Amino acid sequence: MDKKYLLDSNVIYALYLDDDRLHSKAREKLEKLSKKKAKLLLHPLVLIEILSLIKYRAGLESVKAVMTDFDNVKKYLKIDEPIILSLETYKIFEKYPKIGVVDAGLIDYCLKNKVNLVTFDKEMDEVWRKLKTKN
Amino acid sequence: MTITVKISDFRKDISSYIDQMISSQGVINIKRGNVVVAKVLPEIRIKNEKKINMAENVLDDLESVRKKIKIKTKAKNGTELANEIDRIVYGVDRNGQKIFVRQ
Repeated sequence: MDKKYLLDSNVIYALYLDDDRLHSKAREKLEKLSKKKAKLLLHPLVLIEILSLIKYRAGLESVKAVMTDFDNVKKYLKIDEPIILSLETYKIFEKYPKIGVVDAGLIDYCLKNKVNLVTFDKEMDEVWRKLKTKN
Repeated sequence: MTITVKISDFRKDISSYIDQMISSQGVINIKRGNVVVAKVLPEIRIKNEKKINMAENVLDDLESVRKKIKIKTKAKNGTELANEIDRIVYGVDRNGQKIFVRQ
């Protein structure tokens, strides 16, 4: 079975950052995934966040450059599914004080679809790992 | 599933019949007039799709994409970066810190 990894917004943002330290961390993560020949998934919620972020920080031309990269099927696999607030997502959002609704949606998606989560957010990573062990 | 074709048609558009064979894995009857003169039992071996190494492809031309974007951050670690993203996208982070959304 293919190893699938969902990239959180902070990892993608760090990957494209013009900043050495955080960019290097994101690069290291990608290098590890490269050894596993993993599939890199882009969730619609992550796309919404990252496009907003780049538009506000770097402008629309930069958004277009990133979109071209995202549309390359040899680089990323865009998840084609509607965004819904499921009961499971809401339960995660309600139970963990520092988990936002988008974070909860991503954790829920990863658990349901047996996908690994790649994030720099320690709290989100901890909740995903905890719930993954329970499932 | 049986696909019946005339020899003349088969010669004209062999690729379309190959597609049908792949999708249906059916028997093909070759007819001359109304008489079936041959049956083809297709045995199709599809080559294993070469595995794409997505991370490697992203890293390959990452520098050229970064040059086009040029985003700076004040975040010193991953947690600060996640908070910065929340502040920019949602206007507030999980600690309640706010900044103007387009700052």
